[in-house]
Amino acid sequence: MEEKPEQSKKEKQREKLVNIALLAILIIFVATALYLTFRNPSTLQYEENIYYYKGSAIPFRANISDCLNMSVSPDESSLRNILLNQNVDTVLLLVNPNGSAHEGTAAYDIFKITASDYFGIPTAIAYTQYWPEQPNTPNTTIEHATYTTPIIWLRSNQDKTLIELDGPKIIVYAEEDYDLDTQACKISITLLETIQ
Amino acid sequence: MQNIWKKVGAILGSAVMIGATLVGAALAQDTMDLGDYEDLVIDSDGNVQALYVIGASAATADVVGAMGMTAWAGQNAVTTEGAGAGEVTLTPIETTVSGVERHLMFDNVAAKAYEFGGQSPATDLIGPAGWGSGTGVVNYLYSYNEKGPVYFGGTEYKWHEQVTVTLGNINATRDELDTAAGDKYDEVFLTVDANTIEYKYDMDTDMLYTSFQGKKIWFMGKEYTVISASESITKLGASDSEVLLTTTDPTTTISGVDVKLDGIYSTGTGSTYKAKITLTSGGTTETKYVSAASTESIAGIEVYVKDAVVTTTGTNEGEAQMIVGAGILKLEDGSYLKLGDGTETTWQTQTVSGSPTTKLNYITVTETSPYTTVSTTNTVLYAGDSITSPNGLFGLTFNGITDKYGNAPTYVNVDIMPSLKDLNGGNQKTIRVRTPDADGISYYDETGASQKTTKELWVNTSMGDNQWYYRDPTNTSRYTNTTIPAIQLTTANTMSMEYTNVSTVAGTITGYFNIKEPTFTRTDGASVARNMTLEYNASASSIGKFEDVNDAPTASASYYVYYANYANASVVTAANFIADEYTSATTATRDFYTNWGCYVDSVGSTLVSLQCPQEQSMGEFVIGTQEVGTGTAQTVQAGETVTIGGTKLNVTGAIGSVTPAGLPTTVSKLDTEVTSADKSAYTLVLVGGPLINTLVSELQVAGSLEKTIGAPGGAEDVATAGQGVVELVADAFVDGKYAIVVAGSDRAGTKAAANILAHFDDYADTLDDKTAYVVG
Repeated sequence: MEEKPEQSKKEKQREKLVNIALLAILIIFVATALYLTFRNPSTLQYEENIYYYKGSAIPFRANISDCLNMSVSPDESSLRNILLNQNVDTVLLLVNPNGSAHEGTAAYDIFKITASDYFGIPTAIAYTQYWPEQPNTPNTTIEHATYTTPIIWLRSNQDKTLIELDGPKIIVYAEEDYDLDTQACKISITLLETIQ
Repeated sequence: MQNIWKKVGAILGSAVMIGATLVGAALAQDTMDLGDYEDLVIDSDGNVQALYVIGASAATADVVGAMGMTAWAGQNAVTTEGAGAGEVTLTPIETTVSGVERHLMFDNVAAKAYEFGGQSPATDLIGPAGWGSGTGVVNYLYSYNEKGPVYFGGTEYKWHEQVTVTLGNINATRDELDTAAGDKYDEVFLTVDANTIEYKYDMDTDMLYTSFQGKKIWFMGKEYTVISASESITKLGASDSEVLLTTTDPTTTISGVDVKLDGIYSTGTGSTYKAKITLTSGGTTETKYVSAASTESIAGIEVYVKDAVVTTTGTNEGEAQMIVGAGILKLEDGSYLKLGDGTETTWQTQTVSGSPTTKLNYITVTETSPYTTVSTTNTVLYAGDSITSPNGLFGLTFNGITDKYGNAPTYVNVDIMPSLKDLNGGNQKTIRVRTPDADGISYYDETGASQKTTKELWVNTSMGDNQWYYRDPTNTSRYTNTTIPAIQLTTANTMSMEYTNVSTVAGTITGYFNIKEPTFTRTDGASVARNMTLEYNASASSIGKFEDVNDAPTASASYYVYYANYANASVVTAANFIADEYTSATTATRDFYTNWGCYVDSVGSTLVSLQCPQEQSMGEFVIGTQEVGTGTAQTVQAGETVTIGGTKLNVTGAIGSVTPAGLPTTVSKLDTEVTSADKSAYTLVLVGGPLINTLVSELQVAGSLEKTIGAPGGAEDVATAGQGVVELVADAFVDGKYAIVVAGSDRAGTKAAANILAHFDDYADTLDDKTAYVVG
């Protein structure tokens, strides 16, 4: 039987280096596989529509910069005074039940803030007309707004874009669907900015 | 060399095995069912990882129907970024008043406000330091101390602003204005007579009208340039409305009015120039030349040119400083103040000259509108209503009902009802009094030495006056006689109760149940405690009734609940009735506020319910401004006590480091807005059937749905009116990502399906191990 020739010192060193390299490759592969398998996918898909507040990243449907550019007539402090007044029993969000889905999603962008644990303002939806498929949803008009039950009326397809206050009536006029999103966002952020 | 390749092969083989294991682990992690809904929509960090997708062709009502579902997700998100473990941070939301705040007993004028302690000052004053006292010192009205005197000819002319309110003209009243007796006393509002609020610009040193022109003054808290001044009319131009136009940059738009400077021209007299100005307003265009320091009306808009200069000699090039339209305030003696856009307010101006009459002494602007009716004009102030100055700087606001400290009242609910009760001697006709929310009734036990509290007491009406019974807490089947029962609103404020029988003859047992409010001091200094009486007839039914039976004290009265002591015949009138047995003339029962502030919540023959405040209720109003903001935040741990707003709070319970987020992180999109990135990042919750939501349609067409959805009467799995389905679809649009379909055969079905997820906590067990759940 032929004897195996002894490996030279050089060959042994080379083999050692190869072992180390292959081990490193394996470790890198495993680490990468673990990361790719178990990582949480990024949930921050909309940097521009996220309002960061008190450790929460609150997404809105509109860009935050557009929201902040919206104006409130006469001013934002009046809006806060109406909605955050200690006398408020319920805030009503008044929408046309047969309106577009946009009115509903805009209403939610307000509802989710006012009804949150942070503010805890009892908030309900009301319709501008009786809706037989949801008979338990109340219907009312903006004229029934009181300081104990202020009403936010979302109105799309208007000839102006403005949040207008008339006593306890808060009328949100929007020319385009996106304007409704920005107005809703504006109302919510105006409330959030109350708390430092 | 062969060894190396063997090793490489081994390494690769290991990598494949490891990879297979990891893939397996990943797959095992993602095999979920509807019972895992919470994990699908909220990630391990407590963030919402669901995107709620509504069909763009859905109606508003469809979105509303799904709101409860999105709200559930928001409420179940948590954050670990709150205060440290075991701590909470309490941030009070406070209203900051700049001005004076007054608390009025019901049916009393502001001159008798609680704050005055029996004194009756005629007015309240707010102003800068020196002209407002105590909380009346405000930082939005000024004097020469803050803004400097007016100078002319080397002479200092001192001045100040102030707002005076006539207190006798303001009344917090239980409604007495409705015409129907049944509508009265059912609410509390503030009446304010005309000419109650007066703003004053006062020259402490009278100054010639002619010296005023061109001077800067502060009026109603705002800086103006005096355009012109006289005994009959003074015009002010707001400093923040000044614009500078140049011939190189000649145009601007102010409040919808287009303004253009067409050049600077000499007036022919020395170095005075005039500006050629073109205005376009409401479709009308007009051009005029306006000299410096003068005004003109152009296209119906008033323009004041403060200064006009030529910048290039020999040309018409230059610049003009001007105030246009809305920035000009006209103070015409005896007339209503007009805003710059021409709007006339109800505030009337008065200019008072000094001595000689060529000097200005002061200017007042007074609200002339009364707020004294319940009709659609000149309406009284309801809670939250304000009377605001023309420029919105200050006002008078009615905040509604508070206690004398300005806190929202805390109410004790009191129920009074006829009852049949075995008081250790068989069933007896009784009147039962209970405070359902707490042990709010105090009594002395049979020893007479020990005062205790309980939720309910009974008075035996067949045994004479005041035979009260309590249930022995140590032996709940035993009832014992007691004395001195009272509703314990607070330690200091109690409402005593007594039963006075008229007849104890079997079959004709009648009497009066009287409840007396806590004593309070009237504005004339007298101490009073008002009463409410219920007439009782044990024989009217098997348990007895409250009804008019005694016809006393007023024989013709048919009232059986009234706000007076039965023994005081003279005050049982239509004004005091709360329940009237005969409905021929008035409403049989009515909402009613008492002077203390008790509210009669409901009244009938078998139950009278009261909501009584712990402290006497008052009407609160503010003169000045108020703004909602935040107080000082405090961080506390469980078990600690903190004082917020004067109230001590003990924080109890377990406080962990993971807390509800408090602020929602949910968002919704329309199906037309969903991107590829959304499909990769989120669990999509798709709301609506295939006809409404294109993504649901896409899944159904692809055969990905376990339960197909169609209109009622169709052949699909979910095709009955009102039927809905919640279905979890794995690898819906992207491998490894789920979608949840929430849909129905019709709108009602979709709403029913959404309701399942809105109340997931109640349905979690039902949904466990299922990937599709049909409802309805």
